[in-house]
Amino acid sequence: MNVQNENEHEYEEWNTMKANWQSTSVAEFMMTQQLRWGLRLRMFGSWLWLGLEIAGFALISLLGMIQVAMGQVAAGSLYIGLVVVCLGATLWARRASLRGASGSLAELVELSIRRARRGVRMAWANYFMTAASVVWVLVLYLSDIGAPDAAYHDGARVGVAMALFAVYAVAVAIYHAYARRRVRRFTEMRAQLTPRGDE
Amino acid sequence: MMEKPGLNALMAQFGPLVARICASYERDRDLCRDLSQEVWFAIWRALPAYRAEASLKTFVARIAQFRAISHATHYARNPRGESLSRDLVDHEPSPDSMAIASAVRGSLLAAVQRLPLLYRQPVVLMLEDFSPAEIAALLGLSANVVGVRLNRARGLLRELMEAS
Repeated sequence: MNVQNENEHEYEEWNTMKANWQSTSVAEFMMTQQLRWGLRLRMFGSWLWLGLEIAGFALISLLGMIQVAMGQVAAGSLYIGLVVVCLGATLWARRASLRGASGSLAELVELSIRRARRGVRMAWANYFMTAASVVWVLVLYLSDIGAPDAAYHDGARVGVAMALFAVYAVAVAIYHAYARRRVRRFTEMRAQLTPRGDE
Repeated sequence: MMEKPGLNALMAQFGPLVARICASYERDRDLCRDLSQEVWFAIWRALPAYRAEASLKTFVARIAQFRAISHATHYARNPRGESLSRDLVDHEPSPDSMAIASAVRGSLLAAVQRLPLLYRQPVVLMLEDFSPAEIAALLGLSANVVGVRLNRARGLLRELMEAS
């Protein structure tokens, strides 16, 4: 009888709290149009990033094809070779299937750890792509491939390209540090959410 | 073929749920809005993967909980400094902050915000009308662990509300 009373009391207590909770005015206060605008901006940014990545690969491929069409087969092959190498690095970094976290919160944490690790791989892939690009620019500059007055034989332009690569490498290093911090954070979070011995 | 709901429809239907979950993990009004935005952005990104294996409410709540816990653990590791208010000249609180403060003060929300993270997770879901079995599945815990946590959390909530 006491157990039944206790259960009824518990049930009533939760019901009272649920009614109180679901009528809280904070919810309405937090729903603003401002949120939706910010959200749209981030969605746009997400598509823009993907678009820039695809456009970059498409542009270098197009330049390679133009070189080949102009009779500069060796230079064109180097352009296309660069795209293949960089595309390979990108696919390697993105290889894991990251979808399908339809299970529990614990699985979502695991998914986030995998995502964060993908971020670290992306950073390594970008280091590799930058190094490959530097080698590619230097090979074109120092070799006799293509026309002598071609842009890739111009020392000033090669200097600017090297400066841009250096800036890009610094940006990748910052992202790398951020991605590693995320891996640590989610790993700690997983440890925090693991059931304890006394439960 | 199942038709997926749009983000706007989800926001209209589950906006209060997301806002309450965010508010239970973040007391600061502006950061709470940022967190809500993070949650909706994550929902938008996850929506293509939604396969109706769980209800939409569970789908939304799971992402909201995850983002909120992630936010809370991030700030636990990197405590923020107290920034100066922009309206230092006006010493009176604004009408909306007074309204919010009076709603929050001594309320269930304030008590939930003070619960340890391990207890806050099942409590927030329980208050959002999920059953203990659903909570166990959602958090990836056994039903026993959820029962123990809910029981302890109920006692803690009672104490915290009485104390305030």
